[in-house]
Amino acid sequence: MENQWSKFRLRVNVKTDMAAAYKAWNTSEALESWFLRKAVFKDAEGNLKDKKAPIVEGDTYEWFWYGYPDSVVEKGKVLKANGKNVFSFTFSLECPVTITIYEEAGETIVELVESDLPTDTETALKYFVGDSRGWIFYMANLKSILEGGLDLRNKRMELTNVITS
Amino acid sequence: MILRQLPEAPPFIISEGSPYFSDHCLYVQAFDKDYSYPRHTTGLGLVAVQEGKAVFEVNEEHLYLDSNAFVFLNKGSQLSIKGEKKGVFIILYFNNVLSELIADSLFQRNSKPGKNIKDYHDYSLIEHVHYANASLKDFLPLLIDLGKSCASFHTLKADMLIRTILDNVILENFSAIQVSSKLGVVKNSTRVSLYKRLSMAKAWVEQNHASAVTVEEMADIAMINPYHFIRIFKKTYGLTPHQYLIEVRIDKARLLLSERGRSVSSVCHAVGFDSLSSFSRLFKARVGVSPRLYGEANISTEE
Repeated sequence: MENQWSKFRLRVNVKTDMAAAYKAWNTSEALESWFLRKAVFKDAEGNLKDKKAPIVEGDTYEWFWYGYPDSVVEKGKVLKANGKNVFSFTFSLECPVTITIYEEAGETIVELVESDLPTDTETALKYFVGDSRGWIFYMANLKSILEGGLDLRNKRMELTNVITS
Repeated sequence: MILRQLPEAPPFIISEGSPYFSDHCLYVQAFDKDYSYPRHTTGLGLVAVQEGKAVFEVNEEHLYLDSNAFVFLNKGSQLSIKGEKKGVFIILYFNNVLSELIADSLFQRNSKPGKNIKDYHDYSLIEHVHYANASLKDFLPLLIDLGKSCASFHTLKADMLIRTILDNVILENFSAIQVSSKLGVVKNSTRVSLYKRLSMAKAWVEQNHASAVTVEEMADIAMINPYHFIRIFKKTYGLTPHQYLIEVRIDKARLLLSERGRSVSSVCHAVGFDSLSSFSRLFKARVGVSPRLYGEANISTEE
């Protein structure tokens, strides 16, 4: 039986169409509109990609965060980008994160699954709680941005220790 | 990363093996002049003082640290701590598996260093006092903050920052292994000792370049006879100690000349040259343009 701490699933309903929800994940420019301070993608040959270029399988990334200097950088790889409804990448500890987009009850659902988390007692809590808590804020901000609302992120370096950055 | 206070009893008894860390571990400890922490075995990491002063005994060598300096710790070293002036110190131990994976990857990508290098997971070459640069001084408070933060992905961000530090530690050790192999010393303990002495002299030059530094003083810091010091310094780094001092001064001058409002003569004296003509001649020989032209071309546009 699968360990209950090895993965988590988060769903958010968004009043937008599937194409717009997918687009929010599919370019550096889009990711910077609701998630990251700076998203740098390179293609499989190591060439820097344009901010508006679609992200594809095999691209690598460096992600930088609001409220933190460039020394805090997450590096990873795009595992799948089907151009329609599935976007997957490595994240914390190289665990795969898969975004699936589908319709339900007249709204678009953006579902995030982070899996293969370590399950030993010392680190399970740290990654399960830490990562899921982080994604909950950003999924809420994705909904806010896509529905034409506020950008909830803290963008001030002098303000730390807040859930919004 | 896991944030902790040092336990009252030493966490790791003195033993032949070094402790195992399945995650990065940051210990933050306040101390005063009466504080002491008994001898224990360390993992791979670093120790730094945030405020105050303390004495760290590493493998029976006494190292005096304040907020300007830090020490890398090799796995399996023996460490005890004694407070001198009230403050806070931190010990950061790296995740064992990650540090070994990164080092393996680095050494597999590059050609092997000298034949006498048996273990590139040994960090004894860089286990000495280092002077903290601005980046590291910024990193450590940020790490402490992240350790108790409610920020999004705070543990992940702490891990990213430690990964940046760990990459630098491994690269420095990689460089130390390669450079020390030029010493041509077969016996490992002699190679480590000589390299550490040369490194300390180099670091001392970097800290004191603005003063009237002499080669004899550098040799004193390294505790090596001056003639022998000049010979092995050149053999190891490809420059004489005096040439190295000039390189350091010119590098600092380049930075200062890029600051708005700095005159060439003020930079000349700030980096330790007495004579403006010598400074200009040496600068042009190394950089290719005069200090004045360099300054005009490189003034920072940042306010």
